[in-house]
Amino acid sequence: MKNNPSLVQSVQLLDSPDKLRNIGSAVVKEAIARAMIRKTKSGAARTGLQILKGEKVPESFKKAFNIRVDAHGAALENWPRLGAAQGDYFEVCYEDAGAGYCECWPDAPDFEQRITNISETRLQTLAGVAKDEIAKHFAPEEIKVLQAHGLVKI
Amino acid sequence: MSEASRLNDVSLILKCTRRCNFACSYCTDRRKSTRPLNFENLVHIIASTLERESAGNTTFIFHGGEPLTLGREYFQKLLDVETLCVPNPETIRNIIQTNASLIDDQWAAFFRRNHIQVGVSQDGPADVQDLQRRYANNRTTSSDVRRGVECLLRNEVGFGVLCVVTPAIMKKGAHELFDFFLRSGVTRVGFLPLRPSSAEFASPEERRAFYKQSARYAKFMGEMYKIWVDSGDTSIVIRELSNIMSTLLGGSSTTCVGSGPCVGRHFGVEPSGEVNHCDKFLTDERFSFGHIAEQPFSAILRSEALKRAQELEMGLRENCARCDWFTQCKGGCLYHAALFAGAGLQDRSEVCHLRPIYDLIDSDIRRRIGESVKLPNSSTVADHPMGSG
Ligand code: SF4
Ligand code: SF4
Repeated sequence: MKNNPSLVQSVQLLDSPDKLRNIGSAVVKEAIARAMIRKTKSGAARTGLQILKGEKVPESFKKAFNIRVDAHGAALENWPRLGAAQGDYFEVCYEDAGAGYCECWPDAPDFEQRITNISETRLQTLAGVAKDEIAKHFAPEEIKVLQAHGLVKI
Repeated sequence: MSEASRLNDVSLILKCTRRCNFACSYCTDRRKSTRPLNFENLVHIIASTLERESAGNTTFIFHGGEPLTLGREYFQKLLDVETLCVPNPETIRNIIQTNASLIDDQWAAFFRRNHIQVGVSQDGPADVQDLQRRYANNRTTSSDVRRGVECLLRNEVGFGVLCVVTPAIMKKGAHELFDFFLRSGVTRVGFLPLRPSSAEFASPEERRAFYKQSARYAKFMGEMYKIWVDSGDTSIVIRELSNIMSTLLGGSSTTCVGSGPCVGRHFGVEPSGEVNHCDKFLTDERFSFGHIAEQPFSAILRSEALKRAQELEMGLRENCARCDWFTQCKGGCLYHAALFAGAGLQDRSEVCHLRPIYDLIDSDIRRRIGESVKLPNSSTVADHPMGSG
């Protein structure tokens, strides 16, 4: 069977803004989870992500992590369980798993907004890459035909 | 593969262009019109076929005219469209049917890279090839085709040859044909009976002539069978014989012929975007399902026109009811059944070209099983799912 991975990737990204967002958050989830596991295993977990028992858990955290909460959305236990200095940062940037650390403080008041905004920015970048890739394969009038079929959505 | 999933498999012969650099003496496909299946219709047909409900495997057979006259860019785009539709291409199979004259190393690399299977139309030794298959300007083609085949072999592209069994081929004889393909390094060959161009409009005389010539075809294939099994070469696959052998041994046919009802599973698409049952019925209103741009492929599959064609098919296949081999053969090719209707003949099994081949192979298998003699390979055939010429 044929194999055209770069285009396949582009296509997945092109699908729809919602799907793009989901792909983005899946990347976020995975990057964060991997960072956490690594840090937890090495014993040097940083607590930028720490949620203390009784603290209200942000929506974005609830989506990304399996944190048990009560009826009011407050954490039922410290999470993660290894604690360290408050205000530290987590190492893997959710925008780009290979990009080193992230300066977004997860406990900053605008953390949730940052996730949304930055993800959107990131997605725009990815969509731009995908668009360029598509333009390499098809002429503008052909892209219109593909768009009419919902095969290209940007 | 389960029967249920097989039912959702479809194959489409896309007549990408009617243009051809050849003008073969028996060709019914070549037209003066040079407008190819355009990008819009291509996207329509590919996207809506791949998006059909409960889609199984899909085979696209790119046919012509000569499809390679469209250039690699055309096919690259087509593959890109497939990729856009199905990120996981495991369910798609692409086949190009070509006269091989334009194949060079770049084409071969393209086929290989994209896992495109190739069917080569070739009529054997140079004198027959050059008699029947000439360029439009009357130049001979055999040396160019030989070069193309060698190129496929050198680049290890999977291919099979389809050869139309014309009177000139039969005159050459099975021995010479078999030796020719063996010498050429071709290991998968299909031999197609020559057919009239229209099952709808053929006169009773043409229909009878087809069945009369069928007996000669059966004789030719019977000889071919003996040469093939006596050669003891299990690497060679002769598609029609392999399939008959396979169905006799309880297996299945790799082509539509011998696989039973074909309407709704195999389609033909004109460069204009008109969809019909298989490419044999492209001009036949009874088996015509409308334009691809006007309806999604799923709608065609559910259409009244398709149901009517399926009912018609059942009636036509009933002509085989008296045949001993119906269980294995399932009525052969519908196009041949359609030719039989209106031929003014009584019993299809009496005039059918397949029945004597079944008789022959069956008795030979029984004898050989008795003698514990090894039979040639019957399971891996040239794999062009559309089996009839
Ligand atoms: S070639 Fe014959 S058996 Fe095959 S799909 Fe066409 S009509 Fe049916
Ligand atoms: S008559 Fe011919 S096509 Fe019909 S079932 Fe018998 S062998 Fe097959």
